[in-house]
Amino acid sequence: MQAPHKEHLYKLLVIGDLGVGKTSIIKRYVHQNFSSHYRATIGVDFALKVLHWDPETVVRLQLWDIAGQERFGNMTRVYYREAMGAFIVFDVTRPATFEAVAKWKNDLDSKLTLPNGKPVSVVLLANKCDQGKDVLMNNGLKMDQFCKEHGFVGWFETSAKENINIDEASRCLVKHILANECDLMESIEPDVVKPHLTSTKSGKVLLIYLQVF
Amino acid sequence: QQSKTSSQTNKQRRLCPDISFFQRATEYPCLLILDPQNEFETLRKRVEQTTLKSQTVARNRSGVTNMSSPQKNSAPSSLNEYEVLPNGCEAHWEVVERILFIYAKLNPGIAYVQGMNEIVGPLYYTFATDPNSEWKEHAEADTFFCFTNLMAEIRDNFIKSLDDSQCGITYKMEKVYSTLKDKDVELYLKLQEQNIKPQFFAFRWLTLLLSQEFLLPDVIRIWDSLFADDNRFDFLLLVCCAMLMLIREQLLEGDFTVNMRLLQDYPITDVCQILQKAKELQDSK
Repeated sequence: MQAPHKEHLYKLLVIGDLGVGKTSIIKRYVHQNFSSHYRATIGVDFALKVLHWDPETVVRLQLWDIAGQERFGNMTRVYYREAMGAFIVFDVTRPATFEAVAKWKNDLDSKLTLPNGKPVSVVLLANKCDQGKDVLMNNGLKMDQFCKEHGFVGWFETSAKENINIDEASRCLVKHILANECDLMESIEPDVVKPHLTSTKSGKVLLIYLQVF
Repeated sequence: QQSKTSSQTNKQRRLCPDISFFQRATEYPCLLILDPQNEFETLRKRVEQTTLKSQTVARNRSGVTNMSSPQKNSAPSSLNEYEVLPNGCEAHWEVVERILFIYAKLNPGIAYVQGMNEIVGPLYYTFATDPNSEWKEHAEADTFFCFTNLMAEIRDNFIKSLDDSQCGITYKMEKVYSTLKDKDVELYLKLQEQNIKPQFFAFRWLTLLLSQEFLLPDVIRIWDSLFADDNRFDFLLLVCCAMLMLIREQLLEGDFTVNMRLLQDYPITDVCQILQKAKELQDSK
């Protein structure tokens, strides 16, 4: 077997209202199991998933599972930093959680952009599709339209319980991030106006500036 | 194309407190409420009929049901563990739910915030498993009293608008780091260099008084020390520092991902060692 040539490390966020199944999705994806016991996430949880993307490429995903309750809203800015993509999750059995999707998307876009100023790739997950109550999902065309309007790169009906579409959704997101990264390289190189475009560096420069003055 | 996946196994912190206890029936249910003669609107009805359309939300809203029991994955009945018990019986989680519900009603400014269940759980467990039946019998009232008093001291952690004030959680998180800087500057600089913010782990440590980081008996042991100390919430900061310093060699070697996993799934289970270290830090002031 050939050794991988390329390694990518991406920070991905998983956000959405409370109780929609963010933690369960990650648990299914990373640990291949499911528990019906609910336990609220306080602040943030962290998990790692390694994908052997193709024979030459390994993709490491840092999954940031962010608490959904409104109370933790002040914390999100610091959790979002330097993420390359996100899943926004809602619960198909609770319409209110779908109504909150646009709110989460706006929150994300207002606090996080790629180094080139563009929004990060976001995939929408319609979770708990095993429950048979997915009144919202009857109209796939509407969902496509919604995604277009709100700038999602795609959407999937998922079930953490039955392990439906989670791998597929993740592959979709990673595919877009990889494509974005190619764009990013191209857009950054000729740019002489903003020399500190890689976000960690610009962040540090700013920090030093603040400390000096 | 199929991408082959692999993942690291890790210990499942989220299922830490092994307390199937909360799903069992209490010997001392609230008879007044359970008596069908009295037409009280019970939480069972209220919770089912109002906001709680799906079972998951019901668990979520009630908070206490969050007290999940681990190692049940193999049991086929595990899906039914939160079904309400037959009329005339009350599960312990329903008692705790009532405590939280009443607290939320009496304190509308705070109401219910996720995580309060993790504070009330160890208190209730301690009373409700007391060997003396007189103590057991009054577990609900005693827990309510203690929870209210404890919350009077720590409620600022649960109030979003206070996050950035002098009494809020952000200040406390920064205090952990400034104390660490004092006690172990090399480790402090390492965490800074890797951009590991206290929000990434210490938020949960502090808000929940470490109740999600250790097994229930160990949580109770830690709380004993926290509550016994005159400056107990200063002592909590020292306990957090001790936890960091006890794994300093691993943290100094690890990269960001390794270190995040260490801090999110804290590896040391011997809480006496941690408390001893915290005491040392306190004495070395």
